Amino acid sequence: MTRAISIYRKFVIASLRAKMQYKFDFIVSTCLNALLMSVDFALVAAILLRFEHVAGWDIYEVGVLYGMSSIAMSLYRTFAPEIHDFESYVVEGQFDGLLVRPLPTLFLLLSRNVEPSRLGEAIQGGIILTISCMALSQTGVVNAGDVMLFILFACFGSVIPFSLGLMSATVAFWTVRIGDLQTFTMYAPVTASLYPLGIYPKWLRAMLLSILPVGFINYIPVSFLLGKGGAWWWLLVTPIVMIIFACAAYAFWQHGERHYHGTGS
Amino acid sequence: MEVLSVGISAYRQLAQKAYKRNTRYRSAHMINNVASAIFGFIYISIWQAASGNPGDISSLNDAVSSISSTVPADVYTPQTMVHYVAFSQVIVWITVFLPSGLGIPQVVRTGAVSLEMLRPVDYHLHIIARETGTLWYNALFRCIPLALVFALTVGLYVPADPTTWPRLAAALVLAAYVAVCLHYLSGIVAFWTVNASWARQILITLHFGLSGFLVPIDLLPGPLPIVARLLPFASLQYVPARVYLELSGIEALIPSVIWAVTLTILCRFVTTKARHKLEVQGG
Repeated sequence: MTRAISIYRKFVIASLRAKMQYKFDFIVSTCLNALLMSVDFALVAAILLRFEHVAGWDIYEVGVLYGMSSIAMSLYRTFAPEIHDFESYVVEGQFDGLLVRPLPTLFLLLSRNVEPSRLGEAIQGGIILTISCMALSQTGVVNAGDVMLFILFACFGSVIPFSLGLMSATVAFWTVRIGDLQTFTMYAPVTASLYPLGIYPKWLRAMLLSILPVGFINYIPVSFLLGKGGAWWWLLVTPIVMIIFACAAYAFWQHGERHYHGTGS
Repeated sequence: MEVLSVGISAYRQLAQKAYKRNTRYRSAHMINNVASAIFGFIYISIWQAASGNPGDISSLNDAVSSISSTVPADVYTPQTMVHYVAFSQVIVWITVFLPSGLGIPQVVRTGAVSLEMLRPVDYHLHIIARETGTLWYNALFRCIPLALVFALTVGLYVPADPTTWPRLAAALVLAAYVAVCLHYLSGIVAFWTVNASWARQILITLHFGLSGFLVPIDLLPGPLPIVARLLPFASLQYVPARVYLELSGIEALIPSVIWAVTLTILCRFVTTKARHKLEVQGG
């Protein structure tokens, strides 16, 4: 375990050094990633400022959901960029090179690259979460303990997009191309998680709490913590779902790996 | 002039090739269509949830009236907004989701651009022809299936006046052309930078923020409605949507025409500069 951490740290530092060769590019990318996410929220804020609330959630309560989901997705994109861009490994046959190394392929992929510019989304999400929590604390809706739980669930919530990303990547062992699939398994559900799940049709809500369980990143714990419904045990169910989903994703990855045939070159 | 020497058939063939290349990925695109439909349902749900509160629609209409005296007070009803958002989602495949930088950064990086520029076709028109094929494919295999899904679920608006259809067709052609020009400009910056992905990000950000994609430009806060009307992004979503919903007449297309002409001139100018830049690097 110590050896694995040491190797991971060395690989990540090397990756960061390579990134820092293009400082201007890094700064611009970080700012733009944050800006892109801000526009999404600004549009919803424009609606909320007109109507005051959607399905009983005001702008600050939606801000909590938004911030948490942004942080979770950002952490996944920062620390697992090679999982997200796994398609190229299969298309270009680079995965063959990983298979001959004396370490698990998933570990190699995770340690190969980090994308710090993606933290811009987490910073932007954190700012929205902070502003929302400050406003909600003034009316006594949330306290310091709730805020800690928001941050905790947001960070651990990254397990959900990671698992979805890993499952999508695994499909590449059979289909090679996964870009379009990712829109269905990643972008659409994560976008849905930015807003209260209660506004969606029942079939969509059911999907977002089962096969694409992004509702557990934020909606389930926040609903209880903000007094929107639910029970205390929802807070316990959330990490359990995350662990089960991550295990299922890893098992699927191992299964897919056994079916990899290489490029034949 | 290159354009005259080559003739139209070469460009038609480029468009046909691009169309055929896209048809190879039809099944993957159908999965993407499901995701696009979900995105549409998300945005529609937001508006339905927001406007589902009693009394809120009147406040919305009051807000609209206070912003623009030319907009009737009952212009954006909840049903209109559902139609607006559904239509906006249907046309994104011809207004925003074009290949990153129209593939230009990739060929600049690999050096293949020198071969593309050596071809006996005008480079700018070559890219436009290729994207025409892609856009035609997107219209048939992405926009229409998505429109059918929304027609069967939330319902699509059917214009009452038959003359709306040619106006809508003109608005969509202009929207697609302006989009191609904007994406062309975002791609051609690759001649001057190592990484051109930021240009696409800026373009997408401005598109979603100022095109009237989720929120009609009239309803944006502060001075944004005035700013957004002056930019080309309104031609991409807001203008076609209003023409489709019969909220605007043919005069709404004037800014789109102006932007199409302006961006064409700009694209031609930048292409000339890029060609010169390529010659400097080609030693």
